[in-house]
Amino acid sequence: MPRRSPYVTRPGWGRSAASVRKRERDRKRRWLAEQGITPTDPLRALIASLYGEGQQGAMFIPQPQVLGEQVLFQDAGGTTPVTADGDPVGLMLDISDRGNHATQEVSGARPIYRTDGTLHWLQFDGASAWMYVDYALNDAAPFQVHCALDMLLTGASAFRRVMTFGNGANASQITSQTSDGDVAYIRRADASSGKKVNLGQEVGFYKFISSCIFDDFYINQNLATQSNDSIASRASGKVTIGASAGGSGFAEADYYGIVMREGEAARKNDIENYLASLSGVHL
Amino acid sequence: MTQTQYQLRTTIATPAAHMPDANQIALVLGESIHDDKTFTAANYQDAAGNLYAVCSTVAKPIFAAKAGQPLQAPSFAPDADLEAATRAQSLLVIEDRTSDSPVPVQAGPDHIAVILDTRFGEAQEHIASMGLTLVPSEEGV
Repeated sequence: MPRRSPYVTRPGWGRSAASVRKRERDRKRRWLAEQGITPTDPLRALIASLYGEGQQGAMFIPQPQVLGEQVLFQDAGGTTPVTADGDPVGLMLDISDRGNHATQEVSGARPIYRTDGTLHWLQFDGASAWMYVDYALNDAAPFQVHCALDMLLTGASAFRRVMTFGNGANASQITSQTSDGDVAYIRRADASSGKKVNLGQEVGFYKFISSCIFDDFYINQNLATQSNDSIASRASGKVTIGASAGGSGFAEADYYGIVMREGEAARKNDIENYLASLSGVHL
Repeated sequence: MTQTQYQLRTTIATPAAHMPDANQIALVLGESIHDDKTFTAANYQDAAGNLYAVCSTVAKPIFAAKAGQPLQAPSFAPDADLEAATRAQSLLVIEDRTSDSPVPVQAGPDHIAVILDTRFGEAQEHIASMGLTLVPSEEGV
């Protein structure tokens, strides 16, 4: 004779079907909470949908704690947590659960955690701050890269690297061409094959959401340009944030969130909307 | 939220020729065993074309105090080259904006220029104040 599950409540004896369903929902919610799972948390749901099937990538949310876990640390070894506005950041944990964390071992090259009490960001000073991610995009696969940032567009001849994928002749980058306020989403060190987007801004800070979906580049959800020379075809090395690999071409920018993922593009609008909520950008 | 211990921002311009010594004082005054890689590229220049490596970072008040005292190797880097660090220390020229009467400093090939500011100081303003500009990149889009 099959045993009746002790966790199933049945209608009858004065219980309505609705109250039974509510009791079951509450019981499931309690069980998920005990497992550390909050199914209604949109970030957790987003992470599960993007990386739940083992997709490679990384997700960075520059807040001291995310989903109840400390993710920012002052040192690269992760021993001293970031707790205050103005603390340096030597380690930013990847919350995608892929383990592709961002680090900076040199204390003089660390970005700064900033907050106004509502928004949170990493401040890169454009002088020496950058971070290294021990992860290389698979250049044979489709991918998506999203970034919410506030970038300073100044400097007559300077190229500021927002993010770099690889190093040397095969490097690809999201770059601000600061002389005319352009943002390029792909370029190589040895060629002028990059495509760029003129943001149409006067020199100054410009906050936006950028998305690279393989060959396509979007600014604030609008398709900005396309290229046959994709980041993926040039992504031969590890990812850096705020400068080229090794530390040059420093970006003076505030980062509110970064999402990188390999595989066919998914949930672009959801990611952009989430990054917009982190950065205060109105899409 | 607690208050950060990093109440200062310091920006340092090291002449290219003094980068090895400057890296040793960065190691001695810094917080990481990797701080001997603080100055890696001389990609700024003054009006005369002299090259400099620049670092800007937040710092604790003890950083300024230690910079003016006899140097000691930190526990995480007991083998730090104190001779080289002391040579660099002798080259420091500091514009202390946290004092009542800061003396402006310009970058120069014979000294290591330092601006010590509150944590709200801005690296780019410091660099411009020192008379430095970024060396134009050969790379283009």
